[in-house]
Order: sequence, then structure tokens, then C-alpha cells
Amino acid sequence: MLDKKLLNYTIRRILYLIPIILAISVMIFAILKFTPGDPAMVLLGERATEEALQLTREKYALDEPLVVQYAKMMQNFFSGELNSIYYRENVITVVMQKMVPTLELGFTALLLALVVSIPAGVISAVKRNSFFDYASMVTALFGISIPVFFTGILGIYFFAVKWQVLPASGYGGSPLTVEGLRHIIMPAFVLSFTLMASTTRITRSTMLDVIQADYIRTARAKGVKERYVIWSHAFRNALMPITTNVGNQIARLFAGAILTETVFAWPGVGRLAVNAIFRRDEPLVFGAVLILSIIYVLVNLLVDLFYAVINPQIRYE
Amino acid sequence: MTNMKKKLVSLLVGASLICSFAGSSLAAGKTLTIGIAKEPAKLNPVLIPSVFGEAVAGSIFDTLVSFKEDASNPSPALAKSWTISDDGTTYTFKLRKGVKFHNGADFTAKDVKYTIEAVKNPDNASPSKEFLDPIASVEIIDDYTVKLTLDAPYAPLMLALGSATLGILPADYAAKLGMDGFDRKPVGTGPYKFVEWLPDEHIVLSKNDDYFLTTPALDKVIYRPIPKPEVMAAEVESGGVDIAHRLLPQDVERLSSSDRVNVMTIPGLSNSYMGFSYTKAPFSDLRFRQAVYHAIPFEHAIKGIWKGVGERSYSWIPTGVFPNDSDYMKSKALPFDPKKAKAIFDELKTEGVLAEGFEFSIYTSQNPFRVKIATAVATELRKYGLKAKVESLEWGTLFPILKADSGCYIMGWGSVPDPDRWTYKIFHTGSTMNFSMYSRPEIDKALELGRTLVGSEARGEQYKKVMRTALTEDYIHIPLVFKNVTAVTGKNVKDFAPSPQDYFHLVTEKRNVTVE
Repeated sequence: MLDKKLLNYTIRRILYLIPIILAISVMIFAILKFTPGDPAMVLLGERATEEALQLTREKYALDEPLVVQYAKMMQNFFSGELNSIYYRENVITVVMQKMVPTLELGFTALLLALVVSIPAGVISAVKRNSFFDYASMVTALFGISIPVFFTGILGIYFFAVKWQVLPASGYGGSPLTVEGLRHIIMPAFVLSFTLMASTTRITRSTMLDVIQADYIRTARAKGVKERYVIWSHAFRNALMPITTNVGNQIARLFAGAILTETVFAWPGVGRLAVNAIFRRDEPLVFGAVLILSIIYVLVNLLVDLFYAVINPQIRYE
Repeated sequence: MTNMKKKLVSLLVGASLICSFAGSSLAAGKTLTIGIAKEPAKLNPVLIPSVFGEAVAGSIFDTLVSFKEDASNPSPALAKSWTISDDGTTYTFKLRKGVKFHNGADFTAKDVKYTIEAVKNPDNASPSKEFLDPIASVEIIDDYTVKLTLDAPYAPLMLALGSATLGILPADYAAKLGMDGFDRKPVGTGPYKFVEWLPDEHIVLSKNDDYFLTTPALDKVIYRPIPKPEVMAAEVESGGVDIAHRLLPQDVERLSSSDRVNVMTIPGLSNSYMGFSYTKAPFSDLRFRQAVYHAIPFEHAIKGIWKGVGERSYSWIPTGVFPNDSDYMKSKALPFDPKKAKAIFDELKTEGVLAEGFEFSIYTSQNPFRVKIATAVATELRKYGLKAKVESLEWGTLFPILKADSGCYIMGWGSVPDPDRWTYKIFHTGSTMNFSMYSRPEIDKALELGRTLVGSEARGEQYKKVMRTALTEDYIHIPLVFKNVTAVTGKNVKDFAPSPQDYFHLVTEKRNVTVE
């Protein structure tokens, strides 16, 4: 019964995607067209002649009416024929290729953040006002306030230049290999910093609320072991707000990846999108933003569905 | 708890083991990694729009003649000798025999004809097309002789033929793949063969054992785009890349005293300048331009901003390039004189040419040096009641604004050592880079004449005239600096020298770069 409802809910949410994607596509297209600058000029560079510019505009249909251009772009995108001007390959293929390093970076960062921040938050709450509590909260404050490019450069200075233990930048292949792991450590850590900090703070404050609840006192009174009280009774109930926060932060992780990827010369989607904008590769910008939007909406849906797993009381209507 | 501790310890030990193990791992063969500031847009010489593509293509392709070691005089490359007819309109090239492309095809006259015609073909929209416009026809005399016929004598022809954008393509292979297809799988005759190009990640080349000059010393060359100059500096210092370029002055200064790297600086072939509109008031008023020149302590500002990575310039033509007129140009530069500047601005205000509190933008690229000098200029001009602001825009946005007569801008240029390349596109009426909308018939005439007078004193006179008129009578631009080229290499890199155009010449008739 519940499963059927869940299924209905999921289908409905996926159907909502259609108007959302349409609206997003119109917005991206409008922004692209309102951005000053001529893609043909960027493509051909400073040596371009008027004649060459005109030819290029014709080649990429840049001089047709906007409605026609939009219709063509949408049609090509969904029929899998939208090609990047710079890469001369299907935009979906290009984005998916670059998605691999981005996902590797994103998930490593997420993993790092969770592994560090959840225990830190729980311990801070349990040992409130202890040295550990203050230390982790001060670190978290730094984590939230210091921008990625600063921590990035700082990390590069110490780990690559001074101590020479990690490479300064670049991609070393899959993180399951030695080179890949060496390359991913620094950017993943830098990227995870903000998420780590905010999750620690949220975990701590939710845990503090929960620990003071009556049922925790009851559990302790019954003589349940303290570790069991904290992890099974308190933490389980604190998980809801933490999940919401992490879910929201995953999107920010991708946004933060743009900066991290630029600093560490990481060949991911963030850098791809930024470069595509500078190169005025309109089809690629269009495709990349659209794909990222779809992923963002899907991640939100997954987070919503995950609520049911951690809290069976939640009903999907 | 002890279990968790154990796990943590083993994790840490594992991680440190991995780090130390990987640190000692050795790459197979001799590999040179070059950090490039920006990824090339194209590798097909016909389509290359900028210096980054040229820097990489220079190792994959060869040109008929080479300027790699002597930037002013051509030396034989794919052509072993050449003759130029007395009237300067026929060039006959004898080609080297036994040269092979990376795909095994023989290099012959057919390939030369194909390449030149590909550049000239309007359908390919080649950014280098105009440099070959004077060529009327390409004739194959025999497999190893090519004759070029020109409409009129054209002095910069050899430079055009020696530029990396005229790397010779294998005719059959390129025709089969098409211009765009060839761009992703380039094949040349050069010292290194193209292996792979992963955009935003790297371009890999491997040794061409059959190279006609010598056996290249490296097994592999990797070009890695690194967009952040601070990171580039860290990469070369930590050994992540072997050669780095386009670093920030503070990093160059720091690295100069490091014992891990070599820092090499030579005068470059690129400039920065401030330009004014010739047609839009108040910029079009000569007195306004002179007043700005007097109002700003350029000498000071340039020293402070470029800190040894650039030299003050007074002309468009670099000091080492023919014809040298530096002394005269320097003598006519306007000194910093705030009183005089104020007097002129006041005069313009009374006449109504300049409104009180006149607001305008100084347009510039995102080049940090140019943004700094633009900010200095804007700040100084505020003292005279001019509300100048700086608009630093990326190229795609900036270029159309400049083309539409922006009024005031700070830009730059880089080219080969021929006066034509430093003047025609900038000062000739209606030229692509004539952002000042400058137009004087006598200048146009001198520029056209300069192209046709091959290697004579009279040719030099034309360019002296252009520079003197535009910069010391009209003050249409204020020349700012010629930028130095600085390359930083690891101590392991041998036989490398920076090139004035910021290329990386790996194998030439005199050098064969290697790593130890």
C-alpha cells in the first residue's frame, strides 16, 4: 500500500520535471542570448576577418531568429544531436565524460565531510563545553568563513611546495589508483571543508535538543548503556535535520566544485561550464546547465524519498 | 572504541605508505611536462587563432622556413633553399627530400600547395588567411619544388610562411578528415607526434623517431593547462610541471631565489597600450589625449605594476625589430606634468569640449596588469574632476565593445618581428584591431607601401613615419610596456630557452630539449 503511494508520488515528482526543465531551458537560452558578445568573434579570435565571422555565424546558425534557434537547440538536445562548438562532440557525451571526475571529487568530499563531521558533532554535543567542543566549533567557524580558493592555495603551498607530499593540481585518474588518490586528497578535502563545518554545527545543535528530550532521560533511567542511548535513541532522531542539510549541501558541493576545479585544474563539469561560458560555446553551456539542473532536481527527489527510510512516519501523498 | 582506534591507525599508516610509495614511483622514459596558461583552442594550424595553439602545434608541425632560433632571419626547415625573383613577386622553394609525416606519408610539394590553399579557402575561415592574401597562385613544379606567385611584392611573406599557423598538413589525410576532424587528430612532420587531447586535462605528444633534423631527446611531452598563475608557480616549484610560463611578478621574484628552479627572462614580443577614440569627443580632441598623458605618472605606475616583467615602451615597434626609432620616440613622450594637465583640462572645459565631472569608462581585458594600470589611470584622473571607471571584461564581451568605438581602452598586442605586423592591423583605416577608429590617408598609404618594399631602407622610413605621426603628433595611443617573457623550469630541464613569442621550442637546428 505504502509502496504504491510512494511510486505514485515519485512518478508525479518526475512529471513535474517537465515544466521545470522547460522553464530552465528558456531561462538559460535567454541569459545566453542577452549576454553581450559574439560567439563567432570568440571562436575566431583577434585575427578574424568580417568574412570569416559571417561564415562562422552561418555555420552555427547564429544569425537565425531567436525562436528558431531555441527550437533547434531543444530539438537537438533531446534527440542527442546537440554538438559543442569547442569539443565538436555531443554535449551529453562531453558533460557525462567530465561528470566522472566531478562525481569522484564530490563523493570523496561528501564522504570525508560525513566521516569527520558527524562524530565530531555528536561528541561536541555529548561533551558540551569541553575542550573538544570548543575546538571543533572554532574549526567549523573557519570552515564556513574561509573561501575555497584561499584554503586551496594554502593547501597547495604546504602540501605540494613546502613538504612535497602531494601534487599541486591536476587529475590523476580514478581515485582507486595510487596516483588518482594522491591527486584527489587535497581538492576533496578543500571542497569538503564547508560541508564538514556546517554538518558538524547542525549535528551538534540537533543532538543537544534531542539529548534533553524526555525519552532520552527515560532510556537512561531504564539503565540503557550510554553509547546505545546516544547512537540508537538520540542520533537516530537527530538524523532528519542532518539529512535535510546534507541534501541541500550536495547541490552546493557542485557549485563549490566550480571554484575548486579551477584552483586545482580539475577536469570536471564545473570547469567545463565556466570554460564553455568564456568560449561562448552556447550549445555546451545550454546542455551543461540543463543536465546539471536535472541532476539537481533528481537529487532533491532522492533526499525526499530517503526521509521515508529514516522516518517511517512520513507519508507521501 | 579500541577497534575504531585500530582502524583509524591502519588507515593513516596506509595513506602515508601510499604517499611515500607514489612519491618514489618513476615514470617510464623521459617525459617533459609543460604548464600552459590557457588551453589551445585548436591544433590544426589552419584554424589556430592564438599563441597557445601555436605553442603546441610548433612541436607537431614543421613550416617551410623556420624562425625558431633567429626571429628576424629565416632558416631552412621543410624547404632546404629558396629563390626570390628580382621584382619580389615569385618565390621558388626547393623542398627537403625523405621527410615523412607521422602517418607514414611522404612529404611533397602537393602538401605545401594543399596547406596554403586551405588557409586561403574562405570556407575554412582561417584566422591566418589575410597573411597569405597576397599569394595569387601556388604551382607544383615537381615533387620537390613549389612556386608561389604574388600579386605584388609582400615583405612579411617569409614570416607568414614561418609561423606555426602555416605548419604543413599531409594533403591526403587532411582532405579525408576535413578541417575539423583533422583538428582533433593532427598529423605533421614535427619532432613530436600527437597522441591524445583530453580537454582541460592534457595534450600528450610522443617522440617522432624519424624526425629529419635529429632524434628528439624526449619520449613524451605533456601540456597541462593550469588556469591559475599561483598554482602554476606552485606546480613548477614542486616539480609537478617542468616548464611554467605567464607567472605573476611576485611569484617570479620568489622563484628567482629558489634553488629548485631556473628563472629565464628575455624581452618579449607583446605590448600593452592605452588607446583613445579618434572620432568620439572628447577623446577625439588631441589636447584631451595630451592632457591624459601629462596627468599620469606612467613611469612610476608601470614600474610598480609590471615589477621587472615588462619594460616601458614608447613605440609600437619593439626595440629589437626593424626599424629602430626608439630614441626619437622616447624624446617625444610627454612627461608627467599635473599643472599642464590641469591647464589643458580647464581649457577644454571652458570651451565646452569637456563637461564638468565627465563620466567615462576605461575598457580593458581581465589581464591583471592592465586592470591595475587602468585603475591607476582612473584614480589619477579623478583629481582633475574626470569620473573615470574601469570596466574589465572577458574577451567575448570586450571585443564587440572595442569594435564599436569604446572611447578609451587599455589593450595589448603580440606578434612576430616584422613592422607590418605591428602596425597595419592597428593603424590602417578600418582594420580589425583599429579600436581607435584611427584614419589618416597618409598613414594608410605608408602602411600599404611598407608591405611592398622588400628589405630596404625606404621600407623602414614608412614605419617610422607611421609611428611618429600616430604616436608623437596625434598621440592616439599612449604606449605602456613591452612585456618580458619569463619561463621557469625545473633544474632537471636541459637545453631550453624561452622564445620571444612565448612558444616552447623543443627541437630546433641548435637545441634538443631534454630532462635528466
